[in-house]
Amino acid sequence: MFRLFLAELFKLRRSKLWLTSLAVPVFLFSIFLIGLGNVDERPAWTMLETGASYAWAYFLLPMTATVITAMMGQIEYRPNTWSYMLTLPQRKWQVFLVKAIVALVVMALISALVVGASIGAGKVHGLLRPDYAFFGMVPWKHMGKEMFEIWLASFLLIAIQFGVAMRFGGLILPLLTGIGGVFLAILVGTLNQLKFLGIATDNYNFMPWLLPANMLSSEAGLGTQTLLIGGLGGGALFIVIAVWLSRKDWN
Amino acid sequence: MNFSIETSGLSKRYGSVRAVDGIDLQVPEGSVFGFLGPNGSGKTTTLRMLLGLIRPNRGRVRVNGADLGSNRYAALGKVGAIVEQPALYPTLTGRQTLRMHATLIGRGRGEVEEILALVGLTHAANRKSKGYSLGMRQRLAIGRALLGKPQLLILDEPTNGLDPSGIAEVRELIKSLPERTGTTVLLSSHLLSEVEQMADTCALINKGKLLFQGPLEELKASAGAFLIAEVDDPARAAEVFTNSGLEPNIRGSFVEARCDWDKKGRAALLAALVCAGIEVSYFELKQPQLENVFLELTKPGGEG
Repeated sequence: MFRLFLAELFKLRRSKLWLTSLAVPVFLFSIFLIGLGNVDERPAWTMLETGASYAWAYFLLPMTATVITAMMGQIEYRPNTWSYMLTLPQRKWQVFLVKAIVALVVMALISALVVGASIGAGKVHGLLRPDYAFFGMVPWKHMGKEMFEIWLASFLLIAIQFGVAMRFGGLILPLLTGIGGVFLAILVGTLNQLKFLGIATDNYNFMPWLLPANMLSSEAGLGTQTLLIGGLGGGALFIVIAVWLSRKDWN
Repeated sequence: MNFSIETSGLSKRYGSVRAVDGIDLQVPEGSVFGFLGPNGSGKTTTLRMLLGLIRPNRGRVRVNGADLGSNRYAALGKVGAIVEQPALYPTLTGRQTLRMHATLIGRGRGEVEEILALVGLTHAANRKSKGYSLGMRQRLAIGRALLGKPQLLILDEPTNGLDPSGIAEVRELIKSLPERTGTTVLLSSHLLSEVEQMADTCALINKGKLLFQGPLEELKASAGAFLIAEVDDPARAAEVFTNSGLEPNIRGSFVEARCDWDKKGRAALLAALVCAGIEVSYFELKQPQLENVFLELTKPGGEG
């Protein structure tokens, strides 16, 4: 299995996946820096942390997972290299499991970069406009923990995106799944804000695309439930997908 | 005799279509084995089942003495393969492609240079494979399949899309493998001429069924030779053929019939034609062409 990891790294090192991985951190860094140009008082670090976490959990993480897993699928589908990978003297489920683990690791790295890019934007802002620099302690630890939990909660949605991207050769279905999921999550999230109108949407809190955002909620017990469903459920789904794909006919 | 591949009752069905129907294939060790059949005959499906890409509905596959279903690692451990097209990662160079494969199968990098030289790609080893010609890509894929000194090489239409010089190069490489490396080669093709020039043994498949399996010479012999005569009166000559026990066909001024007679028998027929006052300007026993055998066996309503 270790050899499969090395081979995946070999392929990814020479793909555009790394450039894509930098897109979200660079985007957040730029947006924050531009936005902070207009502040007229010293902001708190929590403001930056909240902004980054919400943007990441609600929208950027699901979209990044969609694009990263789709790209990983295309690495094999475009040159038709499944017929090569799956005739190696390796267990087929291991081929898929290794890819799944690589996808999770890439998402973890991007999460870490998002933390770095967000706080980095605050730091650069402080250098450019010292009078309006952020006050308080830099929330490295808190934001790191929050991003880690968001990442764990996203296993289920990453597993779904991974399964679709590995199963279907085209880009359309993985992208539609991802965009559709994000759209629904935002819709449900918005309706949740309108509870006072009597629209009860709590039942949908556990749809996979909302799980990462649940980790930002202060609702008692929601975080634990989310980690169980998103993290453990996602881990289990990854294994099911690896076995399912390994039993499929590769025509 | 030992076999590199043995299948029993191998079958694959897609809905009501039997893509492969109860194939018992035996590929002798150390042979170049041609797997022949027209497009859509079930060749690639069979190869995919031999490599574990497709699960058969029925039947068993043994590769290099190991059961593919229960011991995939042992079965495919010493197999190199190309299925349908050279599947290469376009962003990797030739050398990186082989190095990655060496890592995957647990071989040292030393062998990589040896293989690059063997397939004549040392000069282009640092170029990305997306910049290679089809022939170069095919050679690189064959090189990759050869890495790790496999006991069995499975090649699906290995000369597809190659130019004449590319075909000649690949052909020579494949022909030389059993002697140079002891590798058994199973190559599929719909081109008889290809198989004829490389293989010593073959199997013929059509509509999912195995029609023949054995030495190429045996396949040719199964068709029998043709006796052809050019005459001034084909109708009367055909009568003489028929009276001699042959089943003639008339094509213009030619009369031909399948014939496995010896020299004496043929001389007697010639004498009979001359005695009947027929002017014979051409008389030849034509050895069977594999092409004819193939067409005969795979024609609609034929055995296939």
